[in-house]
Amino acid sequence: MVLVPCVLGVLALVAALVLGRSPGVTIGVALLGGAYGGSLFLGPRGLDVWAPLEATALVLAAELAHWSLELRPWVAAEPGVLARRAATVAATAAGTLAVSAAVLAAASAPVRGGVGWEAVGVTAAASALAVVVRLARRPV
Amino acid sequence: MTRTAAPKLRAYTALAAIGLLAALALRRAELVVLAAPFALLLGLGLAAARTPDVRVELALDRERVLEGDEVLATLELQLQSSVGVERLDVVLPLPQGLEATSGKNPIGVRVPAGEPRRVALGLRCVRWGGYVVGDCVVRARDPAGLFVYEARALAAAPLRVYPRPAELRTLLDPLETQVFAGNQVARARGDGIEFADLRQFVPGDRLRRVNWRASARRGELWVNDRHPERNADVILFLDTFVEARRGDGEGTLTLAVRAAAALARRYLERRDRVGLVGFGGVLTWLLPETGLVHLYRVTETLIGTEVTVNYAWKDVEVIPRRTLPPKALVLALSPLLDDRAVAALVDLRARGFDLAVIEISPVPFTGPGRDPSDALAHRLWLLDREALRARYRRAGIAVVEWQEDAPFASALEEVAAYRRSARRVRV
Repeated sequence: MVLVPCVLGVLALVAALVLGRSPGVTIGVALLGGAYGGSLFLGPRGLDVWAPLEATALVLAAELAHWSLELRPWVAAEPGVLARRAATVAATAAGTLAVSAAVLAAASAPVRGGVGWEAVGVTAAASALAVVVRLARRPV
Repeated sequence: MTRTAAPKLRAYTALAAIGLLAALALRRAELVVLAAPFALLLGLGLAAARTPDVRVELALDRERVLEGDEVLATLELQLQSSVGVERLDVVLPLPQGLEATSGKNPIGVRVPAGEPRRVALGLRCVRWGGYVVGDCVVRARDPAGLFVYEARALAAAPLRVYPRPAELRTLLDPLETQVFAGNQVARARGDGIEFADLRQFVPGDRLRRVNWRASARRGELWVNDRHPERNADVILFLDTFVEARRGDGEGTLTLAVRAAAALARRYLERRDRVGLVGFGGVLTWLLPETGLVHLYRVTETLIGTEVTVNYAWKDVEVIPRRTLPPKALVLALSPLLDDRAVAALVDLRARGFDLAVIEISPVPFTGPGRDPSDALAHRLWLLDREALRARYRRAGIAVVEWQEDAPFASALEEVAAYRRSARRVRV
């Protein structure tokens, strides 16, 4: 059950890179994330401590795939430009690991659930998306 | 600069939304852990996104060059904004006739804020012409790669590429010269250097013209007659109705302009007067003049020559009368493809002009085709061209075919030989 979306995700990523189609990256990463989400229901019910590594791997895959697509058509760069970009991607991965670890730590805090917390969670998620949309529409 | 959302923006938004909604629906905090980095990258990237204000300037090390020369183009990129750009892709589209020899085009460079970056690019001028270089396109991304900024930077730098003149040892001499002093030995007799004949002394002859040896032998005064050195009027008649051209830009007009530039240079060096008629869709002309300034004028006019499609019938009547002075040698450079030009040349000959036609052969620029009927049509066309040349010769017009790979001097020599033999036959 988990293997199928995992294989499909990898295939979607490969197809996106071969064909140069960016939606394939989104689908691939989403399928890989979905496979991971599915695997959570197969094991024990506790928090998965490997989630930050999974998040880092997904972000790294998405960053590298988009970087690859950005370089098409190929434009030769002066020395140092690619190295700096690689360093940025590495820093992003490291930051992702730290952030996701912090989120996991916050999630594992001994706070009792309830309707109030549920509402706070929904509001936070909606607010996060609203902020993203607002920033995307903002004139730069 | 125009800003467009990169695919990454949509992708990360979708991934963050899917992750967060799935986490809420499935009540798994691990999915928030997956979605949070994407959401955070989006937030940080959008907050840091600023439109880069790039100023581009282009400088060429020379503005006037000859065909085959290289010029160094230097692009100066400077950011007016306070934030640098990690990668700025710059592409300098080159017009046909210029090609990059050194440096990279396009190239991605890092441009720090407030510090100009220079990118050097070597350009080889393959074909004559007037160019404007510098209409370059720049593209940048924000630090997170969520937006793409593109702009067309107009940093125009003019470049004049003059045709490289072919080596010409001999020139075509006109049948008749003009009245001004020059380097051409006239047929007429008068004051000059070249000996013409002996004749008896008549009152009014200058004493220094007396040939004392001949006078002593004959017992009466005899004087030397000489040919004076005069200049000639040469009209370069350029057929610009149509041309045959290959994909690399080389064509009959390219060759004709090179030949015309070489002829103009050599005739003006000889102190002859040179005029120019561009007979085509658009009529251009220069009255016969002499001197270095006129050489530049002719060359500038030549590099502006182009084929302009025009279906109106034109004959030599449209050419200003002063452009074709009497006794002028008209040197026509034509691919003989357009009926209007073909008829105009016959008309010029019929009006008594000393005319020589150098046919810029369109044959190397055309192929017979693969189909047998195409090959047959090509052969018929070649025969038709032969018949046209024969018609010209019957009309007393010296016509030679100049192929692309042959030196122009040989074609000129062939015309001269034809004119010499024609003169003998006429005598």
